[in-house]
Amino acid sequence: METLTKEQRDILLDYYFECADQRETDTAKQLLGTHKGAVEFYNKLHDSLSPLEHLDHEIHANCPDHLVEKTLERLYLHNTEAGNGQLEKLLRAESEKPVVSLSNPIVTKRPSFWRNLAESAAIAAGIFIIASIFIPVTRQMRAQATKTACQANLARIAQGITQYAGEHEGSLPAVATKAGNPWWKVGSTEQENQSNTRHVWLLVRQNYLGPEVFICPGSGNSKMPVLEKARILALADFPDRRYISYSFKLISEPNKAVLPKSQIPLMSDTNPIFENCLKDPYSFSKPEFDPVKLNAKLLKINSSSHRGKGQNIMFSDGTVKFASQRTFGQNDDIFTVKDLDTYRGTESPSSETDTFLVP
Amino acid sequence: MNPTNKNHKNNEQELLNRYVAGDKEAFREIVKRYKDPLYAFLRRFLNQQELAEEAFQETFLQLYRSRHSFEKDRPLRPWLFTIAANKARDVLRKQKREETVSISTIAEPAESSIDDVVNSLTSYEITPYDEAEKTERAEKVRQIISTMPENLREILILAYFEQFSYKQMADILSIPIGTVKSRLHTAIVFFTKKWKSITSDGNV
Repeated sequence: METLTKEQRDILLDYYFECADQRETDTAKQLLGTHKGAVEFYNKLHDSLSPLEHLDHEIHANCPDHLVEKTLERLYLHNTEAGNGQLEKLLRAESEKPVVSLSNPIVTKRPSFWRNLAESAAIAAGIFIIASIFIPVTRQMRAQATKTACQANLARIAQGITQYAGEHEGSLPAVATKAGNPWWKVGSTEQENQSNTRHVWLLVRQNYLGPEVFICPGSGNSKMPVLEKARILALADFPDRRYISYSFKLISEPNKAVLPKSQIPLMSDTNPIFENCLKDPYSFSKPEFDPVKLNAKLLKINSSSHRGKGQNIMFSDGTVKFASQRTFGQNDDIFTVKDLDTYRGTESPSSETDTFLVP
Repeated sequence: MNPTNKNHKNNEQELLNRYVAGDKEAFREIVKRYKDPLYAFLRRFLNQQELAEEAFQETFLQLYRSRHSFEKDRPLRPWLFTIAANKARDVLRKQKREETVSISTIAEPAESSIDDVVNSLTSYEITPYDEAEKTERAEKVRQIISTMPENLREILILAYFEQFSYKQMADILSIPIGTVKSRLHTAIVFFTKKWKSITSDGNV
């Protein structure tokens, strides 16, 4: 590893923890762009701490609804019974309550059953009203922020595609490929296994876009290790599925891959039909794709990046829209091939007007 | 500052004014805004749902009770986390008294530098994990976190998950900024060494 000074290392640490000021941020970015040792240090730091992500595995990091209700119930109870001015007194009294022990038992007077019931019902009704108003609002705010950040990503990719087309006689980014190639093998280094992501990888490799814009913040993979320039240049595709959470118009005939003049969908959040088959980031090492047969559910579901509410879709004219439906134009489902219900990972669109966004 | 941030700031300021004046609606709005990050912090720090729930309730009760001592010009989030960190420590102390188990609260000084520890990792390639492996790894991480001295644990979680600035962490933990940095370094070294040792022993 090229040697870093203590100051440079501290700047990278600050940058990693998002504690850097503007000057340090600029220095860190410059170091990561030019200093091999800096990239290596940053990535190893990431690798050292990324196991922390497992901390939330199988537990709910979000506050359970019942806890909010319980907390408000305690406040509400104090406020209802004592009024605002009495709250401090009650809280003080509560904190001064003697500790219950075998040697110091406390005998409390049991309140009447009906009083208890009436109070509980009033509190429950109050809490229900409050909770039903504000719990969904928080979720919506968070979802909206993710959705907006994802739209910004797609808008930047659209700019990259337009720029690429401008410099390549109107062509979409496309590598040499042919119909029947396994569009799902993201990350495969084999010559013949050309996934559909190799086309857009050109935008990264040829420096039109940074790799980070290909990860939707709602996909759960927003903190991936930095890809150093030398590695980007050495790769023919995204390293694995976690580095791209968008699906792109399937290109099976590169000579026909032209940026359309009409408004057609070019890219979207991950195609939900194949999400389960492709969860493993190293799926390219599998010899075959687990076949998928469409059913009523698969024909309706939306991408999981936005809680199944819909997907952001980028169109060929650069516009980006969030849509809860999957069909456009002449009832064309962007996630399926027309009139095909079993998929083996090597399909092609049924016609030039049939949009199929994969993987 | 863009108009959205300005609006958000104005909105937050108005909310804080109402909260300090004892407006219950404003307080509910505050609970609504901060419940998820606060709960996540407590859940990670305390490692047990019951303890996290207890500290969560106590934090908001204390927040309401101490509204008169809150400076309206300061942002609420660090203040809330200051209370939460104190309540979490109280809950841990209470649990320790009950269990009469002594857990180290003072961090050992880092014997190795971050460079040494980070460089001792042989590779940063990520390997795929199936569900069982993920569960096993999660268990190992929780094990390390639960054996970390409290002061290292809280700073690592605040820095890694909550992305507070050094100044804010210094305010939350009532320590100088220099100590925040050195303690964070110690926490990284502690976690990395333990993780390396536990994964090489257990082959996770």
